Amino acid sequence: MKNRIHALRKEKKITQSELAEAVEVTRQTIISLENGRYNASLILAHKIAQFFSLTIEEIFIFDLEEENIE
Amino acid sequence: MILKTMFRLNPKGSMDNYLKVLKTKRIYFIGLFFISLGIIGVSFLLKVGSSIRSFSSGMGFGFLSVSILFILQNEWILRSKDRLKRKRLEEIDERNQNVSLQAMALAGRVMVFVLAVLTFIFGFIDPKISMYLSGIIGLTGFLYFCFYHYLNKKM
Repeated sequence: MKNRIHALRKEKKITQSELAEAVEVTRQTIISLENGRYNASLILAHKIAQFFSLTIEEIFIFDLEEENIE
Repeated sequence: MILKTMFRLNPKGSMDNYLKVLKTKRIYFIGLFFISLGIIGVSFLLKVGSSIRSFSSGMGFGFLSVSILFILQNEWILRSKDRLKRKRLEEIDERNQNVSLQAMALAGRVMVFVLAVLTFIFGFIDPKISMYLSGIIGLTGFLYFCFYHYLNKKM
């Protein structure tokens, strides 16, 4: 699943460590999320959305084809 | 309760809760330390066969080293707020938890596969060992069945 975490973080001038601390995960998890290697759980997605004051859909881009659901 | 504290698969909760868990773990590992000393003492005092004595003293020393290691690690974490915070984050991090669970699942599958191969090979060499190995596979399957049904009801 693609996401806009990296772009949003740059926009708000927040470091990976700051975001990680705010949403209670390790910096490695933020790196993996930004690289698209790891999909956040619903709880983490909520926390990240709350942190950026956005909705989950505005941050995480769900692609049916990419997820092989179609 | 003891198992739940010692084998927490998905730890969650506040810093206070984590602190409580670490302090409880400390008590359990101190308990294990004294039990190990007891096992070692008994193995040297009792007049039993040398193989049983070696086995029980080996087990005692094994438990003793594990308990010392965990007591020291716990103290090291509890003595620094920074370490405590970092360790808690590592434990509650969902990616770390996923990685750990997947690694355990993979290790379990490989283990069963290796046991199955060994069971087949030992069938030609020593049928008794082959029987023990197939027993272990059976036990693993039974435990999987039990935990599957427990978790299926729980979720």
